[in-house]
Amino acid sequence: MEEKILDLLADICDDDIVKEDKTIDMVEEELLDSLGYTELLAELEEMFGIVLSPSAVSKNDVATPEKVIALVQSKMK
Amino acid sequence: MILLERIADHYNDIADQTAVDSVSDGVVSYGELWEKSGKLANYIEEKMGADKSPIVVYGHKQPYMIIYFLACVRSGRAYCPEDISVPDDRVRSIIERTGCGMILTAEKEHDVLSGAAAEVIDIDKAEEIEAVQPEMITEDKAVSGSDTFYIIFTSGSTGTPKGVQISADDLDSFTSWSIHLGYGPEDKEGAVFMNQAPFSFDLSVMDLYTSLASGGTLKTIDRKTQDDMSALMKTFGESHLNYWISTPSFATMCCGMPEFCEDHMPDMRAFLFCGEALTNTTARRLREKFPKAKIVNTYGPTEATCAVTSAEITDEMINSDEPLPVGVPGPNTRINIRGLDGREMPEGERGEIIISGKNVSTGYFRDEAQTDKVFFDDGMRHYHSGDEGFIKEGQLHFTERMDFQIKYHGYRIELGDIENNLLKEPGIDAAAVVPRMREGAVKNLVAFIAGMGDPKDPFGEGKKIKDALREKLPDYMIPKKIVFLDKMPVTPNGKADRKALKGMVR
Repeated sequence: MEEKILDLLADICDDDIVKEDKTIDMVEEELLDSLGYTELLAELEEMFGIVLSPSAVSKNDVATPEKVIALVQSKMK
Repeated sequence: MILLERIADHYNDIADQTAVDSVSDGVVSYGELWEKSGKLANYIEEKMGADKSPIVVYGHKQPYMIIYFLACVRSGRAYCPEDISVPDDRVRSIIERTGCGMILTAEKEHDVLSGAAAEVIDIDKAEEIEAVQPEMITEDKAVSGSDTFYIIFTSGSTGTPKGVQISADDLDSFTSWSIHLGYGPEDKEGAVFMNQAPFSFDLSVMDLYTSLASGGTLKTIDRKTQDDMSALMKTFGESHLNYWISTPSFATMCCGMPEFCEDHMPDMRAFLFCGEALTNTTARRLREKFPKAKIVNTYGPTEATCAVTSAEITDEMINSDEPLPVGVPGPNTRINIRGLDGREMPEGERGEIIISGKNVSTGYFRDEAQTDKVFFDDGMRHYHSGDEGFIKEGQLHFTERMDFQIKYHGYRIELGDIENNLLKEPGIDAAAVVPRMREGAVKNLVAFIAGMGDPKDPFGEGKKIKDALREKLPDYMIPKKIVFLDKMPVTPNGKADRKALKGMVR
């Protein structure tokens, strides 16, 4: 699962740095903009069959690869 | 001028109706819009006298911006809109180039204007002027005919922006066509138009002047709201929007939100797009979310007043394998496709899109050399757009740029502009910027640079370069990624090999 998420992030951010540094702040580093953020939520929903409403999940909640992985794990329990 | 006469009519007929409504900077009615701009125009005329230089208007989405625009043109002077997103260096250089003796600003903080050799008028000062000016300016003073109405600066390949001059006649020609987009003009009376684009970007001409011409209300959405998806959806839910005007990328972004749908925004009648390619995917998603609203694709360069062709997108077009057409020209415009030898291309074959007619600009501001390269006049004005396209079954299709100009999030960017600014950074010997494409639209920009070897921390080094660029270029021109090369791949004639570089962009 982690690998799938990291591949998705690398694709959306267009940078492999997200695979190397899981604590990188993708919003701060301008890897993840508003378009990328909505795309990310939609892709995660489809990939894992979970519900991630943009009004419940802020950009900050998915700012680092670590946070994204933890979020998906919590939703899949 | 027809447009100004129409706004004067609204002042007489619907003075209490809101003309411009902002998210956090208040509203102005048609009555206030006309009176305030008329009194300010009198002051401008008294102060500037024989000096007919354009006037720079600096600010963001405040309703006062529109009062300022009208004040300038009613005093007989063109305005040049600069948004707060334009980097300070660019604002200063544009102020200098226009030689303006007066600057109007809607911003409280305007340090960027302090060094200018011009009188700066902010909202407090403007309100003082309006309080003591007894009369509105007389209508004979206003711009008309071939007088310049506005100047919008666009990215230039050498790194210096070009000022496109749009005359009163050009804009009249545009609005007489744009009020028919989606639904007829009667439907637009009292309708709410969304303004997404900054006023320094000419996509805003479509929402602003279509709304003012038809007696609608312009709802301006500021950058802060656009950056916060839940605030944005809340604003949409409360605004009763009828006409949506934006770049396709902005609508694509909104499509990710569940609230962005007919239930939440039941008043939506039409989506009007301009500025970049509208993809079939985005059109399909919009159709699903807003089954009742029309989707209209348009095409046009700044040099021909925002847009010259339109197509109402049908389900058949969305579901076809072909990219969406940009449509047919309005009654005042002609489109021709020319081959390299200058001859007209047969139907279905690609060539340069030549735009002719009343929408075509009078040329670049104080730049005869650039003007003579692309504008031609044989009794009718023609603009050689540098866009490649073809006509099929009467519909114009845009394929790609013939040079190094691209559209990114609707913004027009000369890749050379970014490259020349990269080359000014110490250590960079060669630079080439390549767009990463998806479905015919630019997803982001990648800069390839040589001369700095193979840095240990390419991400950190790249960030430093991006920060340096940000001082000189607007955000949308900053490459997403910087790739460090030992050597720039070159073609046999010594230019950067863009094909090879494109291959390196995954």
